[in-house]
Amino acid sequence: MALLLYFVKRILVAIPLLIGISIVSFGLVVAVPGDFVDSWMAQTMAQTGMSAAELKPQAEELRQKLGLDKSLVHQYVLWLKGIVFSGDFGQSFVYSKPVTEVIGLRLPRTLGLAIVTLILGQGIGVLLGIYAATHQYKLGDNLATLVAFLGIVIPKFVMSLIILYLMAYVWNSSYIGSLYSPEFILQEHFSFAKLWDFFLHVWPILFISVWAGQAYTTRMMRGNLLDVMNAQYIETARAKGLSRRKTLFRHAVPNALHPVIMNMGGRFDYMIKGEIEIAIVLGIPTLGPLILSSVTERDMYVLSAIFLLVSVLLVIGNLIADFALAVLDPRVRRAEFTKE
Amino acid sequence: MNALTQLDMNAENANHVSLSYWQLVRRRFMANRYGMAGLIGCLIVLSCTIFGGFFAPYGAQTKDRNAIYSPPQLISIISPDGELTRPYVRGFEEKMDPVTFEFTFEPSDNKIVPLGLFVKGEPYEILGLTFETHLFGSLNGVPVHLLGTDGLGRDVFSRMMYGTRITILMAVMVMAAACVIGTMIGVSSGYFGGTYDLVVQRGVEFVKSFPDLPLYLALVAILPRRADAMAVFVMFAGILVLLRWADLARELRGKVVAIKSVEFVRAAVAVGASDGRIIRRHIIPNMSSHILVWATYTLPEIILLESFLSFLGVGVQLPMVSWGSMLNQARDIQALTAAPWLLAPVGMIVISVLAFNALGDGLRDAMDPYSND
Repeated sequence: MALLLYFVKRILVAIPLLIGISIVSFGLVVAVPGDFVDSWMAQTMAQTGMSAAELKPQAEELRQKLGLDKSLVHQYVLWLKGIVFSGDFGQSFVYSKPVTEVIGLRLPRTLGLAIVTLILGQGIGVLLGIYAATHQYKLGDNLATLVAFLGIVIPKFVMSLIILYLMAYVWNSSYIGSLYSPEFILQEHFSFAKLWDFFLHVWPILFISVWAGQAYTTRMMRGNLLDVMNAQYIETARAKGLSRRKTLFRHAVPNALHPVIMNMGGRFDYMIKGEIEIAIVLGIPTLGPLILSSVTERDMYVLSAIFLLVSVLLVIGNLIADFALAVLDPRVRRAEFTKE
Repeated sequence: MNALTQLDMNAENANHVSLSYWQLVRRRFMANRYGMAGLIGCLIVLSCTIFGGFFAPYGAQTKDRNAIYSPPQLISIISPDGELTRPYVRGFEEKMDPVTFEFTFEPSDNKIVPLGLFVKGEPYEILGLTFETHLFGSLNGVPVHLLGTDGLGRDVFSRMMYGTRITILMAVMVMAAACVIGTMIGVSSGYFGGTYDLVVQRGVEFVKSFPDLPLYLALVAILPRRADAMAVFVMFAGILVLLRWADLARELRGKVVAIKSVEFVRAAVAVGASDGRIIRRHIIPNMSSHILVWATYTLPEIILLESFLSFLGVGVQLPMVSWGSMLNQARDIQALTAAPWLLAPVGMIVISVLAFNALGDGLRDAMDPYSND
């Protein structure tokens, strides 16, 4: 019951946050001078050679139809209504298609890659952290610390550049800048060959993201575990005759994992950011390159839609992390009630 | 640690002066080799920021039309006939491959360029004063390009030195602004509490819920296109500040709430000190170590972010050079293969990020001088 109440409360808190995010996204669209009709006019003038005066009546009509002549608040409500009830994010200026079509398949790719890297990165980070903490100041610990450090220090776009260079000129790899090889693009059904082909195309994203992502988790896990292992209950557990291994995995690790899980939401943000950064450099058709092109071409509806969707995803990710923590740790959900 | 305790004892025997907090921090920090190495690295990077023009043999925009994509040159002190001479580099023999029409550069023993210290060259400015003496340069007038040149024949090493200015200036500006805003908001929110605190905390949560990279990119898109480089630079810095202060504000608020109920603050309240005085004299000094550590950790983050955005071409605009905007040339994979040395600024990025992180770690450990771990 307490758990359910906690969930409901967390969701209620998230709602004003979501409204705020939607206002900022709408603000991005409005902040750029010129609206959809202006770009439509420019396009038509270029294509048909009509003058601005001739197009004026049509433009006014279009404005009315799209509701662009209304007040900002009214426009915001219309815009939000379109998104919530019909998934309509507006039109892309550059592609002259609905934004949903432009973003379409790219968002799930980014999301999927981010989730896979998150799981791999956290898993490897936790294992490396346990190893480093149990072998403190030995060779393995120092190596793990060094690997973690390099992952933090080398910028991801530089790693991507280096891998791109290696792929293009050293390994003569043909798996660059796409998701599938030509022979698999039209293949609709799932096959392991296709999956492997996909992996050959996206492994740099996984490699770089996981390397950079595990670094923080390794450091955190190592520090936490070292702290926990100094706690009295660990000594007690050892004193009552529990084996070293059992003490570690039954008593020390679960307690040291706590901050790692709490940080999941933040890590998810990090992984999405990383995926975008690497995909831009490698030209892999996920959200990354689309964001960059819509920034340079000022395709504000696409940009604000991406911003809105990613923000909402992060809010949801944080909620899930909170829920997971509440399920695992009764103190969290109880603390929430004693506060009020 | 042993040496330290001995030092402590000596100090006490000698004059019985107890050390202040910052003296203790300094002593502890100096004993940390790793942190000291970070400090030295930071000082080197910062000195490049100020004296970049002196270290660089050429200007950031000076073009050497005879050296397009010329490779790095190695300084040598052994002359071709095996004797010790003054430092020199070997000039390049330019050849064209008859099949591919590709230019190749061969270092040639016939084209020796002697190097000297404190050579007169192009005028440059340090803190508003104009100088002409450079740290090193060629003595016979033939240009020397230690890290090679880019596609317009500009010296990569010189540009890197000038790029340090913009990159570090940006990082320091953003860090300072975020520190001031974060401190003011965090401390006041923790100190005054009540509805104000509640509103501020919701605001902080709101700001922290944004995905930063997409937001930065979206905000960059709405910057005016035709503004000059300086205006874009300042606005770009403003955008970076926008999300940075929230973390500090939240951390400080927690600390202020804790420290508010400690005796010395309550004593200050009891003797009738004003809120402003308590904040300035009692609370902020207790936060300063935390702010300092936060600032040191924030600098490398901003360096990385600025480099990435400039690398994409949406950050620092021409004619300004930063490490990131230099790497922008390497985005073209053809240019990268023709001239892998265009990646040289990466070295500076990695060194500075490493150094600031090491300094931050060292400071964090030293800030708690009463613990003995």
